[in-house]
Formats: sequence, C-alpha cells, structure tokens
Amino acid sequence: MTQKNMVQAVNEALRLEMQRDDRVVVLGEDVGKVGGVFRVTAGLWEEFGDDRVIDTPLNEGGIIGAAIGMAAYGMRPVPEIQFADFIFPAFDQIVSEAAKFRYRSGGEYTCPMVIRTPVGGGIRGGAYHSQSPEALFIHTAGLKVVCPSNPHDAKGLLAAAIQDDDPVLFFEPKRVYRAVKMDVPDEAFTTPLGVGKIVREGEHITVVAWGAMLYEALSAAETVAEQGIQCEVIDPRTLWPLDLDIVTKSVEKTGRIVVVHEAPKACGFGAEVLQLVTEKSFLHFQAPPTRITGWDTPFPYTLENDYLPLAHRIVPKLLEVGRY
Amino acid sequence: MSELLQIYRHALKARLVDERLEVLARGGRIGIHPGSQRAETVIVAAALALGETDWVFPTARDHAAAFARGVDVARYLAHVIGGAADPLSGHATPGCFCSKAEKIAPPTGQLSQHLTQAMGLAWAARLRKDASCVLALLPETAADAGDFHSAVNFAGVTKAPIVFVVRTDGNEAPSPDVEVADKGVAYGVPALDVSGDPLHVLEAVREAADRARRGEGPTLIEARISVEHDPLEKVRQRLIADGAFDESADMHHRRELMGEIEAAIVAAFDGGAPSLDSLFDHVTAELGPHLVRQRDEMRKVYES
Repeated sequence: MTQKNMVQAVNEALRLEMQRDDRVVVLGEDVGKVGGVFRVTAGLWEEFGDDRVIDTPLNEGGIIGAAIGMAAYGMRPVPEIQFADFIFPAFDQIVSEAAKFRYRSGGEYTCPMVIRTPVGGGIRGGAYHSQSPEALFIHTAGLKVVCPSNPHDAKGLLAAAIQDDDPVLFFEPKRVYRAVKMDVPDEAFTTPLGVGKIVREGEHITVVAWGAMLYEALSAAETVAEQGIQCEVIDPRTLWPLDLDIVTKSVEKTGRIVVVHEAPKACGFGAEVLQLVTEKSFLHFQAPPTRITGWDTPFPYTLENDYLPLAHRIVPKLLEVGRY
Repeated sequence: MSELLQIYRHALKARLVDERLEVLARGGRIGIHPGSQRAETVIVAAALALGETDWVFPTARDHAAAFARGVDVARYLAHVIGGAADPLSGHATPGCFCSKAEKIAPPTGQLSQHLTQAMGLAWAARLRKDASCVLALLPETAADAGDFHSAVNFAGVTKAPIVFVVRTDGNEAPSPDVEVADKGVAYGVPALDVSGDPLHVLEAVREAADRARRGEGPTLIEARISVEHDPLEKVRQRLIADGAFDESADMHHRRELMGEIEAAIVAAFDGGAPSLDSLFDHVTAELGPHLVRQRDEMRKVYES
C-alpha cells in the first residue's frame, strides 16, 4: 500500500491489466513516447512496446473506429481521448457503432473497450478542455459510464472496466488528477461497476455528486453541518448503470435530495437521477428534489469558478432544502 | 466450376433477392431493403478473392458478399424479415447482416464508418501476428465521407493488411474531378484503378490480399462499373458465348433460385415474430438493473 494520486493509480491499473491480459492495448494521441497529455500512460510504452502502446494520428473518429475493429477481433483496446471535449469527432463511432455493436449483431460481435478521457473544469482550460458530456453517453443504450472521484476507486474501477465485456466511457476528473493522494493497494484489484458508495453519512439531506464535484459537495456538507444539517453524500462512481438502490434507500431516510454536477442543467444526468428517485420514493419527499449544476451556457474561460457548482453555490441550496 | 460462373451464380442470387425484397418493401411486408445497385458482380468477385481466414467489412448493400462467403439465402432472408429465426434477433436494419462464422462484420448505416473499424481489425490481426487480411467494400459516395479518409490515412500509417475496394459508377453526386484511387495515393496507400470486369477485380484483390498477408500493407482498388450496361447481363452473355450454359439452362437455374428464395421467405414469415423479451437481449452482456425494470414493465403491459 502506497500513497498515490489518480494519475499514478490509473497508470498502475493500466500496467497491471496489460501484464495480466496481453489482449489489452492502449492507443491514442501521444500516449506512447510522450506518455499522454496528462502523463497517465507514462512508462507503458517503455514496458510494453510499439505493438501495445500505440501512438495514432490526431483523429478521434479514427481512433475509436480502429478500437472497435480491434475489439471485434478479440482485443481489449483502451483508447485515450485527450480531453472529453475532443470526443465529439468520435461521437458517431461511439453512439452509432460501439454502443450498438452487440445489439445489432444479435450478440455475434461485441465491443469490449474502455474509452478513457479527462473530464471537467477548474484548470483554466476554456471551452475545449473543460466540459462534462456524460449525459450524452448515458442517453445512449449499450454504454456504461464511469467517473471515479479518487485514486483508489479509479484503479479498481478501471480494472473492472477493462475486464467488462462491453464498451465503457471512463471519465477521469482532471481537477482531481494530482490534487488528491491516498493509500492505494499496489497489487491488482477491481471495484465492481454499478455500485455506489456512501462517502458521508447523515440523516437530513441526500447529496449525490461525482468526480471533482464530490469534494465541493463534501465541503458544503461540512459547512451546513455547523448549522445542524447533516448531509448523506453519495458518490455513485458508476453513473450508468446507476446504483439506484443506494440513492433511494438514503432518500427514504432523509426525505430530501440534491444532485450536484458540472454539466449544464438541461437534460443533465441530475434530471435523470431525480426523476428515477421520484418514481420510486415520491411519498418520502419533504422538499423539492433539487439540482445544482453548471449553467446552461457554454463553458466559459474567465469565470469558470462562477460557472461550476462549487461549495459556495451548494451551501445556500442545502440550507434552503434542509429548512424547507 | 469456372470462377466467372461462380461469380455469376452468387451475383444472380443477390439480384433475385433484391428484386423480390423490393416488392416486399413496396408492399410494406418488410421495412426497407438496400439493393446492390447493379454492383453484384464486383462485390462477389472481391469477396471470392479472400481466403477462409480473411475478413470482410461489407456495406448494407453487399449481401452478395455474404453469399460468396457461404451464407445461404434462407439465413440472409431470415435476417431481413426479422422474425423468430433471424440470427440477429430482429435487431439489425435489413441489409446489415453479419456472421462471425463467415468473418462478415456488421455493416453500418453511417456510410463510411465501417472502414476505420475494418482498418482496426486488420491492424489487430497484424499486431497478433495473424496472417489474415481484411476486405473493406464501399460505394463511390462513401469515399466522400470522413471515415474513408480516416481509415485510408490510418492504414497508410499502420501498414495494416487491408484491401479497400471502391466501386465507382460515374454517379452524379458532387465530388471533385479526381479518381478515387488518387485518394489512396494521397495517404501513401498503393492504389490501382481496374475495370469493372469481375475477373480483373478478382485478380486485383487476390494480389492485394497476398501483399497484405505478406506484411506489405494496404491497397486501395477502384473498380469501375458501368450501370448503363448491366454488368450481370454482360457476364451472363459471356458465359453463354463460352458455352457454360444455354438460355434454357439459365432459365431453369433462375427458377430454382426463385423457388429457394420464395420458400425461405414463406418460412421466415411463418416463424412469426421474435419473442417479446428478445427486445432486451444483447444490449450488454448482462442486463443492467434499469433494463430488468423496463423489461418487467413491458411484460406487465402485455399480461394485463
């Protein structure tokens, strides 16, 4: 057990999975010799060589299309898209092809691959290096969507995603990459997909948050605790399929739910979480289900801390919901 | 059987299937069926050039390639009709037939997107030291779409063992006045321009596939067909002139094929619709909890 940040944890998961299974290959822009734009794949090319850590042309649609073909052949590609904002040239390949490969072939062909991509704002990256497009992929049948919030989960969830037989979008919150360090086992382990985690217990409000916003939610929860409002903070870890039970169980205890996410409000994943909980636990509600999200604007460059639902925006909402 | 006769037999089957399915589509018995647009002989010739361990990435118009790979008419028609016997569970758009046994990849509805996938599979085969190659089929229009360029560019970089066969028929889609084959040259992929004569196509693809298997990389082949003079009819006339069969034997053969097609259609319709639950099959390896809830919800609708 050693202290690792998320970059190191993801790197270690990749290395261990590549050692375990020689069908696992990493491909993308500058993932080889350079070691990736965030250095997440550093050292892999030296260990596994050109045939397994592959520098590709700068063409996301080509990268994902190629990965689909590799998966159809029986390999386990782990393509990297440098920023989630760059995933859109590959959007058609992901939603029209990878997501439907198993379904439209009646189970003849499968598409086991993990698309890794850094997500979210807070690094002064502007509109092309900051967005959170998770809802677009959750909306697409056939995809699994994962977003770890810490190094330990990142390592276990990535290993589980690589071992999964279906395409997985693996969103890595780039603001957390080097900001959080924790004990992570050195050996290989998996954290099951589709299982959420209660990060903080409390009886007054259920707060659902993931990725970098989990820390904002936790910070806000500590602030309102001083005023007697105890939040139960849940990190779903796998966004889709969602661990709905852990959320509804909590809401049936607290009667209140707040979802926090970076992505814009309209049709954001928060809307889905709240509606699913409403369908199941409506009679338990003691306050309106509430979202705190990025505004329905494009992601700004200068005022990103006013765009993001940071703790200073979460606190007043928690007080409002807690006192409703 | 001579190679030309083999080409004719498969191509004729595809043509007769098209003619019958066009009627069924017009009558609303099936949703749609993308026809071969008189390219059957080129499609078959390219597919016949492959070995058993090679792969083909067809478009939704290339059922002729499936026939050349050994898929029988009944299995293909079961797919198009989408009933209980459909090997693809009634999930695929008609024309988007695939089969792992014959190494036929799933065609896409998105024009050129199968091409980067084909390149990826070829690349994987090379990385795994497997000496098989990939044939990717496309119509001229797909050479204007983005993934064609991505695929040929990637192939030029990776030297993947792949043969792209573009059939051009001088269609009027707006396109720069250059040969499609030149687009291969632009990406460092050897390209050649052959006539639509299926024996030329067969020979060119065979040579390109050999090159690919030897590790010498990709090839782009442009096969020019002339739709004003039906290529299938031209092959038929040639075979008659060569004495392979006469008009009466050909008519007899057609009748047999039509009987086979009709029997397969009747059997596919008689089998009824796939089970209701199959709507939820194969979304993912295991049904997620949300899908279990929705499947149960669907069952309830029909129980009451």
